[in-house]
Amino acid sequence: MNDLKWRILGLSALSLTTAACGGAAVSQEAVVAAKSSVSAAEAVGAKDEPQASLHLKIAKDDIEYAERMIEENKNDEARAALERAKYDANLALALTEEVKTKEAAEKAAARVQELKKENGDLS
Amino acid sequence: MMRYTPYLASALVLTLVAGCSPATHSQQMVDARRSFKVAEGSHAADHSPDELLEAENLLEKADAQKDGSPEEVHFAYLADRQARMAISDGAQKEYMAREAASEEEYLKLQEARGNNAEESLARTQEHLEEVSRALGESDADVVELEERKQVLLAEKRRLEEELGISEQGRKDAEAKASAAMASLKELAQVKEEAQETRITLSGAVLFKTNVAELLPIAESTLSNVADALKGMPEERTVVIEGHTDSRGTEEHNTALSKERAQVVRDFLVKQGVTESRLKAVGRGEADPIAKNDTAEGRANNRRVELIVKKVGDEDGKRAAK
Repeated sequence: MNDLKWRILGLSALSLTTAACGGAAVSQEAVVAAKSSVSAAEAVGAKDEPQASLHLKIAKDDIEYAERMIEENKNDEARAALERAKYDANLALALTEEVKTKEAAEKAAARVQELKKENGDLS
Repeated sequence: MMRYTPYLASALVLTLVAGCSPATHSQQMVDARRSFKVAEGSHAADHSPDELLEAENLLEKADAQKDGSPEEVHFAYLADRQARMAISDGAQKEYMAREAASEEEYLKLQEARGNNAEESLARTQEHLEEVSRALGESDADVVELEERKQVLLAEKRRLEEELGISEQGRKDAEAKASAAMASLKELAQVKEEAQETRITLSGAVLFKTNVAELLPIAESTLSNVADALKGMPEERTVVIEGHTDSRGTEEHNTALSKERAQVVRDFLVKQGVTESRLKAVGRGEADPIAKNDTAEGRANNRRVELIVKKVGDEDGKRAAK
């Protein structure tokens, strides 16, 4: 009887600590979502673009921080950090794509100019 | 009294501003507002409205939190990133549009150049013959004429080379068009007839039920159509026919089919197909290809047909050149 009492006490203490340390457990999906946003940004070459690589770095740091918070049972903080990481990674990806599309547009415009010049020389 | 009005007004404005913005706003909130403002004035406004809307929602969420609270900071942070992402996304789409426009201009220039080169070649050929004739008739200016002949021959060779290049450009465009046509055949029914090519697109993949609004998936199908049309000679005009099944009144069906044909036309124009080539008509329920008494038959009748006319004999014309 005494033993059971202690167990109940222990369990309630544990759940109290969990509550105090910040919310329900972080779902594995949230971690995966943030990480896959980072992978997507890396795949398009975000680390080679200065602006993008800055946000890629912030995202990775936030994921690392989130994992530490999960271990410490600070779940709300972890969740927020993962969300921030996702947005930073998405920004990094967009910035990288922007540079690429800009280069392609400039290249196409230069090709037109060159042809115009050649056509001008022709007549 | 009049002269006091401005003072009164500014006092009122000051009171309002002071009332609305306590000094405790986080830096993130300031950043987020600024980024969102920039985004609103950027290409995101016309190219990336969804991304912009999400930024606005996050900003509103941040606004709804207590000033200076961690929640406000969090949502403001997300709003800032989202707004900047929207700016970047809008810029991307703008650059892509510019690239496409340049590509098109390039092909047109190349075509014009081909025509120029053909004309110049004909003229050079004439001169050459003149010079040769003159050479035969007089001995006096033999040397000078011989020189001119050499110059003209060099010009002729250069122009012939030039034509070879533009020939390549034309072949590239044709290859792109036939690739687009091939992938189109997987998505739509394409029927080649003597006087026209008839492309039938099922209504189910184009439109939501009973409205003239394109489904997202329709855009990729129609992009293929646009590529195929762009690759064809400009003289080939296209009639876009909207068809419906027999449910609903005839009036409604005619109007709906016309509106849908118009939506397809607008999309193709946006994709770079020359506007004057395209004509949209609504045929309503007048021209069914299946019976209207089964669901399947009705589904087949709801469609958009593109009738691409064959004007003249393109191959013959080309061979004659």
